[in-house]
Amino acid sequence: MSGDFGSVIGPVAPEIILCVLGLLLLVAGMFLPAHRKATIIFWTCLVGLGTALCSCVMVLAAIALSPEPLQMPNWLGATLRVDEFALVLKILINLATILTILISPEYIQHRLTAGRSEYFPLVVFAALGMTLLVSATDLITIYVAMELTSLVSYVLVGYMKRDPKSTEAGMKYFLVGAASSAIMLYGMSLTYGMTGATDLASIRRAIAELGSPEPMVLVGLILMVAGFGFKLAAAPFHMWAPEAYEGGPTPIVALISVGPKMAGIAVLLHVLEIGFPEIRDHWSALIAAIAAISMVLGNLTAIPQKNIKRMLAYSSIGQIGYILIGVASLPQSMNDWRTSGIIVYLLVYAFMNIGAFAVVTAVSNAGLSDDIEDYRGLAQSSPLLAVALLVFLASLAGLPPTAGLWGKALIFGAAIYSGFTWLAVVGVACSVVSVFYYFNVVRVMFFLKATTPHTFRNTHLLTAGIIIAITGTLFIGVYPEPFIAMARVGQDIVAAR
Amino acid sequence: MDWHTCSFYVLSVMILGSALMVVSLRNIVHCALFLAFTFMGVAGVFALLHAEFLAAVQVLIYVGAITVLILFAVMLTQKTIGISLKQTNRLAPLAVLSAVTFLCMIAVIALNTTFPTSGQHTVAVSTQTIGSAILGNGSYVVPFEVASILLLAAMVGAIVIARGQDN
Amino acid sequence: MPSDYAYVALFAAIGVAFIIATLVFSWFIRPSDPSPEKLSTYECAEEPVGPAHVQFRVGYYVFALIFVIFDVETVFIYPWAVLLRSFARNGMGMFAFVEMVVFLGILLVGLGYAWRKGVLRWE
Repeated sequence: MSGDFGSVIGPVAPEIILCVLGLLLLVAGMFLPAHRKATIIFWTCLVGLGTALCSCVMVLAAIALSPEPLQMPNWLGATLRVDEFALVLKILINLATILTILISPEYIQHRLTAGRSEYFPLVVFAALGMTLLVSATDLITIYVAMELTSLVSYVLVGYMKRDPKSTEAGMKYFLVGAASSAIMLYGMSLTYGMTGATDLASIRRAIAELGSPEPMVLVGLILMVAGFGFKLAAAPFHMWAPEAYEGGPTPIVALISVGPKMAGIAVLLHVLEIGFPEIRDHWSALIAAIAAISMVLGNLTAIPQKNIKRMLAYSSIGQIGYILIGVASLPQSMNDWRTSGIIVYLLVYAFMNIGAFAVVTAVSNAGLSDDIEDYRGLAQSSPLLAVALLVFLASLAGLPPTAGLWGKALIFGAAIYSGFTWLAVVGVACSVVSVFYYFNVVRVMFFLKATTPHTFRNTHLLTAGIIIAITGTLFIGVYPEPFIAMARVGQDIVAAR
Repeated sequence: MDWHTCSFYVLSVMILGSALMVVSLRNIVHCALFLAFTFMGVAGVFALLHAEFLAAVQVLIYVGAITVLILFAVMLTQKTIGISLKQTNRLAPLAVLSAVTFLCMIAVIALNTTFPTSGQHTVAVSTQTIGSAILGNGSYVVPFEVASILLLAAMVGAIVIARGQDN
Repeated sequence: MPSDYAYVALFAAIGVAFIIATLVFSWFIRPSDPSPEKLSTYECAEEPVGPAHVQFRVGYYVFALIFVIFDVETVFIYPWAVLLRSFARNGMGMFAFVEMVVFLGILLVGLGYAWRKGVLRWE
């Protein structure tokens, strides 16, 4: 090994911290006395995730401030690339995980009969998988990290063993996920067969040498995109999402509705931009089609939903459609304002979607069900929750003065600029439709009287999580410039280093 | 037809035939046993390609461990053994149709594709090649280490799900 | 190389032929005189009770699962062991060693977890 310790592991410090944290929590769960266990594990987890977040910021600062490109340690090879784009997304993933951890304790106290001490290490391992995914630039690394994320998600979705719905959700999620992994692997094997390489930069060179695009390369890419589509819950690969969201523990649903999407979008961008820029026209059309189907199907199916978690599931299918517009309309050169739309949207999406699920968690902690009907009169019984949900839903719909507006504005602007005007039109139309079902919940909360009054006694942690999410949603909404500027730092994901 | 091609076709028939049995037989234990045959056939194909290490791994893990795991899973599930199970539902024709369509598509494309093959006829020492790919500086160190976390997470998850109460 | 596999194929063929020949041979020379006792399942000379397909305890499954995981671990250790000497010659021995220690350490936590959870206890 050459170089000092810091430069050998420095760039992957966030991953190493998460790995050590997960192992530490697992060991702590084995040996600590039962009555102290929950508190110690929770706070260790929170501090550890905070440390991981800080280390992401530090690596980002080191990269942004150093005049020449930061030297990556040799042993990483071509498997990981730590650049600004990856680091911004790692910060977001750590943030999303922290919010998830904040809203978890009361829920798991109420709902879980077993595995309470394994819950936190598993969440940390999921976060580790996602942080690895956002910088993975090698098919094998992508596969292993994606399996880590998915496997932990299956377990966590089916975590409430006493609840048949949770078990069913975990089972369905697992079966669909396993099949999608097989499809993705098949695509990867075809790509490897055609290019003889697993790292994306070599794949690009091999495709360029092939000259005219071979159909087999395209088949490999399509199958891989289908596999990623499953993980993103983009239509037509979305069928697991409503079940998994409805049955899974709500804090976990908050995480899996945000984290894997960030990781999946990063993987998609890396694969498409680093590996397959030679056949841009093909995949651009493919992604545009997936985006359009996701938006239309997600938003229309969300309308008749009676269960708020199912509604949010279909809404998140629509949301991933908007984000995919950004991917489809990526320009030739990544050094362009259009890339930042995706990052800003993912940032905004993390706050508003986790926030919405945090409110759902709070409501179900009070003993109410997840039916929209049960949200009657929430404005009287708990004004904070009702206003919070109003903000998050308005942001999901993309209304001012919330952050959702800016995400959509940037994405639709990029689409029009890149010649995908029809996608932008579909997107705007779907946003209008989405206002209808989002504000149905608002109507129920504010204008209907509660049948039986409920008292809400939420822990400070849950309230803190909700307040962080509201602050993020509103702050980015009224003052988006620094975030757009920050996202612009992450543009050079294909900068030839 | 030389022995190489001949054994390839024998193995292919074995793989495809047993795989078909796996998805069509009505006794789930028989399905699991035919799955072992499928894995054996795949190991044979690996051996044919001079990937001896991979063939050994295939036998050790898939034929040995995975099949046993599947059999245990079958045996601990009530009401699946000894009864006749129907593996298809009313959507089966549609599934067959889409699978056949995909097969035809991929076959047509594969026949019209010239795969870039390396001039090297066989990889001489596959164990060494795999070993240095896993361990060598600057190769697949990261996925190798992540694989251990994946295995750990799988074990913890399975124990949490499979076991009853927290103690 | 073909000749090596020819031996394997020969062994396989002889093995299969031996079983078939034995069965066919005994089929021809054995007398057939069935009675209810003879046709019943052999269960250590006891009267068989209930069907052979009983539900197993979940403990077996967890054992098998842990076995699979450590089986996979073995598969990774084998090429490492083959190569460690040549890595050491190139001055990369420490790197390869640390790599495997980290790998094993992480899985050791898993073994400790299973142990501590009482999964390995057989009552």
